[in-house]
Amino acid sequence: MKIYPLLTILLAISLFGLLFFQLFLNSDVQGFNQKSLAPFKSKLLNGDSFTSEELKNDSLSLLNVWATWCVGCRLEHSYLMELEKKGISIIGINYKDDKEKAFKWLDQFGDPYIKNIFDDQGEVGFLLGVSGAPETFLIKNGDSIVMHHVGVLDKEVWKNKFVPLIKK
Amino acid sequence: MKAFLLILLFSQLVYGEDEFMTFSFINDSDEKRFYSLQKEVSCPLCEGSSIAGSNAPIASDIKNKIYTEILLGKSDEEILANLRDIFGEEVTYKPSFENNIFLWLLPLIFFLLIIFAARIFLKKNDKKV
Amino acid sequence: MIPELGNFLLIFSMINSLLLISIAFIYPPKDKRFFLSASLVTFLAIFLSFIALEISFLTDDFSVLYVATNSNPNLPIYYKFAALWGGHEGSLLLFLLILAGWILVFVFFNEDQKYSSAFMNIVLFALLAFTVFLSNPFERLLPISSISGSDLNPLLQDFAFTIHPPMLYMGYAGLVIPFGIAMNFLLNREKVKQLEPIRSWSVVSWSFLTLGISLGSWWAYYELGWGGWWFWDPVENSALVPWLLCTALIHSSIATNARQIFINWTLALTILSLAGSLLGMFLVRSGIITSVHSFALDPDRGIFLLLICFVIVILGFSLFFLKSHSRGLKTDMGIYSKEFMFFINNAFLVTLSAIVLLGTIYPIIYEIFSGGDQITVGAPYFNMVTVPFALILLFFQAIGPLTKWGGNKIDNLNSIGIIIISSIVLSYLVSYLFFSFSFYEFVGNAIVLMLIQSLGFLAFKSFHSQRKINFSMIAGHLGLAILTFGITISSLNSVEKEFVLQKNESVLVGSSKITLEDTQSVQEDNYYGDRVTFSFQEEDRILKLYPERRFYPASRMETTEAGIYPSVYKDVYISLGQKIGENAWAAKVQIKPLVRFIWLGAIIMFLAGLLVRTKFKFK
Repeated sequence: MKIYPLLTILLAISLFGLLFFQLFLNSDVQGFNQKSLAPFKSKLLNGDSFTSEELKNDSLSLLNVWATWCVGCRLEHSYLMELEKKGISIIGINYKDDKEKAFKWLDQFGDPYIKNIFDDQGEVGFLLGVSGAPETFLIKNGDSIVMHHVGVLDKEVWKNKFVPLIKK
Repeated sequence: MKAFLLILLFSQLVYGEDEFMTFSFINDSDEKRFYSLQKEVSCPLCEGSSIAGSNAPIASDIKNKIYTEILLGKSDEEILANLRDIFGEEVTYKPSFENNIFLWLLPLIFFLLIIFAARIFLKKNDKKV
Repeated sequence: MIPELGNFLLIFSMINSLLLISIAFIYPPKDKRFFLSASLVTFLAIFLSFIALEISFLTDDFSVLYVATNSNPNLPIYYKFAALWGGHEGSLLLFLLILAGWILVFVFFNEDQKYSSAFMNIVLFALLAFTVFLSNPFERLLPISSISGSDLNPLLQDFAFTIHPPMLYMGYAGLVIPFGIAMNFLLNREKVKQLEPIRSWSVVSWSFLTLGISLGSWWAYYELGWGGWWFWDPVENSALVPWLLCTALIHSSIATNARQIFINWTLALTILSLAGSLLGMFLVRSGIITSVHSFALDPDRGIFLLLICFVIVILGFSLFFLKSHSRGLKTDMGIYSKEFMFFINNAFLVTLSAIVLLGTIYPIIYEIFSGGDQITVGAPYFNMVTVPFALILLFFQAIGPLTKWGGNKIDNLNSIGIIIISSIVLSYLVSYLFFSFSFYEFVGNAIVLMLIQSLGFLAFKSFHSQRKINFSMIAGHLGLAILTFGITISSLNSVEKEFVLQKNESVLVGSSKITLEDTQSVQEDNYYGDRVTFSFQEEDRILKLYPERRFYPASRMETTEAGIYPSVYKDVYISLGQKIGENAWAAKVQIKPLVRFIWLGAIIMFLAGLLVRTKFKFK
């Protein structure tokens, strides 16, 4: 009979301990699994062609998924302009959008991107694992995804999620 | 025949303005696979909904992908593994066996425990009063 | 003024509850009059507090924070009333009301009091304290900024959905009663007969849990728009686990009452089922698991809820291990005995709850131990793993009632043999005739046949020997058989097809033809959208279905309302996808045979449970 109390205590402690621990855990601090990026070809907004090979030129590239129909993109836009001023190169992915509208937007609000991939069918997005906009990716050596942020990119997110990886 | 279908398919993707393909299959079992696979993939954007039950654009994209891969002859496991690569482990509802052995073996362990306990129970009470 | 009164009443009831606990342990009263009056006062205080909050809702008092965040002036009166339990704080108040109500009912009907109501009040007090200090619905919103309120999630403006939480709470809260009886027995033990009331009280709780869960399932089926009725969603599982444990408790207590065996099982199960419901409430509210219907909550509050659950478990099991020393009566228990059947029942149900609980918690375990990786455990896992156990359990449910207490050989051997063999043969014939060669369908049908034959045999025997017929048990098991049949047939024989149609175009599904007839715009008070008319033509008749897509501007939500043609034999279910151009739609049709049997079976189980105290006798 002695083992049953022990067993029960063990079980109760592990179950509740787990749940308590999870509550204390900061959900923002999530480990991120590196994923490999499948090579792709696409076109840019200005009509030029683009391949993922070009990303290999930089050790780190920042890809930002945006669209004119996306409300959050309006919100994060000003921060993107700030990053551009700091000298950070951002490659845009205009996701499931209309070319005319995209040009109008960039004219009206400013263009923080060095290049803009025109992904009207969402094929490039699909390869990256995009489910909507806005989303931002950090690509290493043009072939692996080291960070994928879903949602608006603001100062907090930049500081907590991206800066630590860039520093390495 | 397959090549012809594929050409037809890709031409729809490139030239069709809409992403809404009519899902036609050669045989019934492929069609059944299509619908059952949908129920195994969760919609990345929606909380708690499978792509079968979601109208989000990303859900349609994934449906299209599953459709194309079935036609290309990929197996269920290959299709699901591919989606996991892109969207992460959490996109499929069935946890993989290799990474989650404990989860899958636990029911078996329970079953053995029951048999074990049953024997103790029967032995303990075997004496006629 | 009124919200402050409501708050005061809540605090008052909390103090009153503490008073009852203290006096019960320090200076135990001689009879139950003290407990009756104390419980009555506690209940009335909470009831009036509930009324106070309702008044705030019905008068659109948006100075109360909770009302402002859960209601809107444009809501119809009934939904304003129900909005009280649409959020965390208010639903807690509803739970407290029901809990206090159950305690009062118990004290009224039961003579043996001593410590039972005190233990029940421990749970009540803990939750009252939690509500008053950490989740107070009467908090004011100052300064008053939001005059328009906010809108309830449109998914929640629905009758079934508003009734489902109260029914679940009736079940969850009712489980304190067996707990209290068990704790009292451990502390104040005289004879095993004290445990006798556990059976009826747990059956009543079980009935409400059954109703609550099936209402949730039915609601999800017609409201969420894609034809599923069970998703193994964490919140659903949190209700299923207590239900399974409660079922085990019922049967264990039947055995305890009949032969004084499984005393320890029964006691432990009262703790486990109460813990299961508290844990379930925690899981839904803590935000630890996201799902379609979790309340968004502070981790801090989650910690305290979890703590309450933990304390109850520790309290319960400490008392259990310290004070329980009985081994019950020894009777002849061979493998063919009814005792063994009850053992199987207990073991399998507890195993099923453990598996469901583990599967639900597993993503948390995985995330912690893998340093942040996410994983999802869903229907494929649960279905694969629970179905075998469930089928085996149901098999024993069929033959169990035909065995005898202390039986050493198979009693009724001939009858059992006939039942098993005929069911296997019949099921095989059915599969053969319908060209369906699914193994699970064959097994499922065979077991349903065994269940029905076994029940028929029991009824016949009782009738014949002029004994009292246990109507509640037979109806309850029959309900389960119907439910199982519905699940088997609908899961394995549903037909589905996605299509794109222009106006007046048709598509064939099996031998039926679906035509898109028309698209109309619709506009109501709080939504606008499209309504599409489909005709479904089969053999000799044409059915019309009207699925919709709606947009709710206030909460900026889009919903799909499925077009359903229900019938006992099958449901035709059409859900809209994307609109294409002006008049064409992508849509999906499902034909689900016998899906209504699932809820029919559940309703029968609910009603059967309520009749637990009535016995029919044939003269």
